[in-house]
Amino acid sequence: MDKISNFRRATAVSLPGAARGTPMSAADEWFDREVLPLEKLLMQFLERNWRNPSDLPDFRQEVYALVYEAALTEIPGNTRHFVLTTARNLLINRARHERIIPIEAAADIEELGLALDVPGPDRIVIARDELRHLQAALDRLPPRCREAVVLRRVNGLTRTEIAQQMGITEFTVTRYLSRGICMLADILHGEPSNIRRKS
Amino acid sequence: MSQFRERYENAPYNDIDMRAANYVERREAPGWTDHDEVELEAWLSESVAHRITFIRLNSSWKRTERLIALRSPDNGPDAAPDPHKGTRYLKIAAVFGVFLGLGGFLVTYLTTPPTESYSTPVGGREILTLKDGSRIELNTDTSVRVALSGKERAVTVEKGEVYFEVHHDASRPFVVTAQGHRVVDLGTQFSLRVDKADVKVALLEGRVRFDPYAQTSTKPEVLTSGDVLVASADRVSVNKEPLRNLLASLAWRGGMLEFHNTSLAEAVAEFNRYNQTKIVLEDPRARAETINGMLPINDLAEFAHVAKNLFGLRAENHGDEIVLTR
Repeated sequence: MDKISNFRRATAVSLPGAARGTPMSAADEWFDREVLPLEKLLMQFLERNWRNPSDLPDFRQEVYALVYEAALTEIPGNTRHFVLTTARNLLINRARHERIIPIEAAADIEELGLALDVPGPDRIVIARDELRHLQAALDRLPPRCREAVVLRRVNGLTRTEIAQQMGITEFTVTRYLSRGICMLADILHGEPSNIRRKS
Repeated sequence: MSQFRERYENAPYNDIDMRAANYVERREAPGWTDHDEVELEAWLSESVAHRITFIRLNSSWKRTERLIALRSPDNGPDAAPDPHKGTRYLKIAAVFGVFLGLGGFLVTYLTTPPTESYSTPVGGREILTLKDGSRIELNTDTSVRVALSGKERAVTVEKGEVYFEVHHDASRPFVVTAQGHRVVDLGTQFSLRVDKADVKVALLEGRVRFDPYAQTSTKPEVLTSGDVLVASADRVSVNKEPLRNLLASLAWRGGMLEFHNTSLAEAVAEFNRYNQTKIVLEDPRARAETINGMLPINDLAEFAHVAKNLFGLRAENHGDEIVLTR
């Protein structure tokens, strides 16, 4: 029986949503389904056009906030174009503000947009590499953090059990897990997306 | 790009990130209450930044659910590590489960020499570390006997597949026996698989000497890295294989199966070694089709998914069998 339920569970398309108490709003869903897979593209764009790398995570969040807010009113038609245009405008504004000579970001948009994320014939086969990809992402976490994530995700232990097994406090387990979740987001969104199964 | 990596791997995360991550993690764990949900809702409506951070972290964390495929039967929460059957004479100095990533690793120190048996069930995988530092990894449905003495380290493979990393010691040869054939280590990493009457030895690194079963007329062979030897009851053949292929055939060590132009029929047979629920594929045309790529060893759903997407096959669940049809 276990096998059967396992079978069903994994074949069902898992909506990575906040769908528990309240269902995801249209904007939430759009953001999750269409914007997050563009993160690598967005980061490349920002990186190429801004010289201080430590600003980039903030820029990313700002772009996300702007596009999300726009989507609350109306879901944009061409997500990629919209995200990149928003990013470009943000950079231009910042550059003006800081009196930096603006960058030639305009041409880049179409160029990048074409280069990325075109599903090829290998797409399905590549999807089989998902597990390997996830493993590789795991391996980039710091050792203790990784251990906590593995105990949680692979072995399904609770925080209390992880604390016992690792000989640390639950508070520290929580820190490791939270940090692991943040790092995995950077790694997995930053380098998707041929892996993401189309729903 | 590498600069980019360094940056985000050392990235400090702000309070919003950490708090959102905390919600993401706790929300799917037992103990999450309606009260918590209300609190989360309130926090999410405070600002768009909260909301997008939550959605972003939740999305990638959900993806990692599939890591559960790495769980071996022995490392679940209720795992009762019991690799030693008939250990009456054996003193186990220490047995402890150490989790290192690719499955439950059971590190066992053997202290005294009598023969000891180890086996794995279908779908199981286990790593033994011997006192001399050698490692033995048992694949699915495998049985071995181990006898360590001052003079010799002897391992008999009764069935299944084993990967060896031998700590070389000229004064105490490491000898693996299968179907009467003997493999004598000369400092090495190799795998050995028993498939009915056949024995297959693949040399990843180093050298071994292969002494065929006494009644076979063939002479001993020295195998070096890249050699794959197949011994049946009456003949022995040796081929060189690219390292890539050898590594592919050892993907099970990481809980995966790797296929290169493998026929679907073979892939199914290989997959069935690891699962109690067997996949049945009768369609003759589909049997001949070839498949490439990697699959988690114990993920039937994934296999069914591949069959559907790549070959247009439908999976019917019959309890202990999954039948693939057009």
